[in-house]
Amino acid sequence: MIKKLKLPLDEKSVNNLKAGELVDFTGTIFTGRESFYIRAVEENILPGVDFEKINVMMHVGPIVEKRDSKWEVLSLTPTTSIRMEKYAGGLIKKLKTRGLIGKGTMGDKTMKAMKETGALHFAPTAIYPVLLARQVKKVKNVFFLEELGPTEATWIFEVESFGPFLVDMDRFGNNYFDRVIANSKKSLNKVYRKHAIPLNYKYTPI
Amino acid sequence: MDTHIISNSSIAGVLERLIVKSVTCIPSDVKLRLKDILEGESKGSMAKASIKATLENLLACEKESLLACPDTGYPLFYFRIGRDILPEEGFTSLYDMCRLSVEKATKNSRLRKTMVHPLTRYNPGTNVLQFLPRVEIKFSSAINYMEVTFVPKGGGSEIFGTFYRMTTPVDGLKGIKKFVVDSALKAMEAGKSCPPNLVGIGIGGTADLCMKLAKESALLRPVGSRHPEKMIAGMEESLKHDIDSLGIGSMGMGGNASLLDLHIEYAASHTAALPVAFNCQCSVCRRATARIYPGGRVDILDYPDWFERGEK
Repeated sequence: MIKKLKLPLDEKSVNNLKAGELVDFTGTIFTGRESFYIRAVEENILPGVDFEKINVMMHVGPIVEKRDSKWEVLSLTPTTSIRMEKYAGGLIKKLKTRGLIGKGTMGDKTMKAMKETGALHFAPTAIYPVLLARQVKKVKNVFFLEELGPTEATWIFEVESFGPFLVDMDRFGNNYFDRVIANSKKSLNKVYRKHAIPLNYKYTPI
Repeated sequence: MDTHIISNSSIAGVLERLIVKSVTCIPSDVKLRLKDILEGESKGSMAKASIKATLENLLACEKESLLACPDTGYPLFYFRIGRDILPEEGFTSLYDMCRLSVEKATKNSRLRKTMVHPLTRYNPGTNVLQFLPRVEIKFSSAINYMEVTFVPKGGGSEIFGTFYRMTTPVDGLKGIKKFVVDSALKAMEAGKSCPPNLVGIGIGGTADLCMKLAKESALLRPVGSRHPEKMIAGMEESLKHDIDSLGIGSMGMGGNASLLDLHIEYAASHTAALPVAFNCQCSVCRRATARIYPGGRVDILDYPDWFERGEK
């Protein structure tokens, strides 16, 4: 089942979501990746956006094209979130961001901030850039396009039934991927046994 | 020896076609394997829904000539050229044509502006700077054509799916197996390398040759192919089974299949060494190949015969 979420997210809807659930979004999101974080946190350079009203961020470098003087999104798929680990916790607190959409998952520092402020991380459930692009109904604005280029610019997208995404980190400290990885590690031990590789195997030090 | 000349305009035209084909239309061997994986995942599972959406997306891309993935990544060219084949304007013109075709495809939004200076992060917006596009050329006395493959290699599988270790002969096969399964889990966990992946393993050689073999076996051998030597083919099957048994699944969400395939290539090793390398390709395993014959005939293919085993 896919839970349909209206944006902006409030604390109550954040509290109602658990790791492992599927969701899609209707409303407005903003985009960013390394440049956004470094500039926002280190240099306090922020776009003129009301972050209380637009409180879900997608880590992405979309493919956009101007057609008849209007921006169109042709393709977008989340980029890997863990690269932003150094800054994400600080940013969530600073902007009161309630949702981060990005590939994979994030680390302890981000989890701590999410628990504190009430925020979630959402992971892609497929490689579906064109399907996602079709759910972007409108490009509402773009910031820093000249200086950063289209990949690193901050885009404001109006989206409809955007997803599905997986809640991989909930605000209660649960991480869906941790469970999958724990199972994989059990299976890995079986593979070691099959090949008679000791669990404490050490490569020859060189 | 009769030299056969291939016109530069013919080569340039083929390069442009290959770039567009590779980014919009994934090879048939990869598509077939994804359909197999779809069949093999349990009913109602996230893995099944995931592969289904990935395939649906690929179909839309093919139909409407859209990018299969917005990260068109590193531009890589692989040429295999027959002994008697000569590009009209000489071999160095191949480098120029590769650069021009990448620049043009970038301008036409077929490639994302992805390649930047590593330190200043300057982005010229062309994907052409300092040794990229990568152009790999090898020669063969067995063929009477020029074979060229373009691979747009995505960042996810390259950044999170690259490992190298200098083991020793004492570590032997056990050390290699451990390295491969450990690397696979590290690469694929939480979907970082965009699994199901096509994993390439290089064994032996110098450090660079070892990694080159890992990369080329992932990027250039068709899904389902096996190494001609029985021992290596057996290792491919066995390690593939081991990695699938980890249950990582599509995008790391859990599932029966984690691999499109696993390929191994080896080179001679120093008697004191046993280097091993891991490099993987993502589930949107993009490549396109063409053979250009003297006289102008062009065959468009899904994969090259890079290791000269009669794969066609």
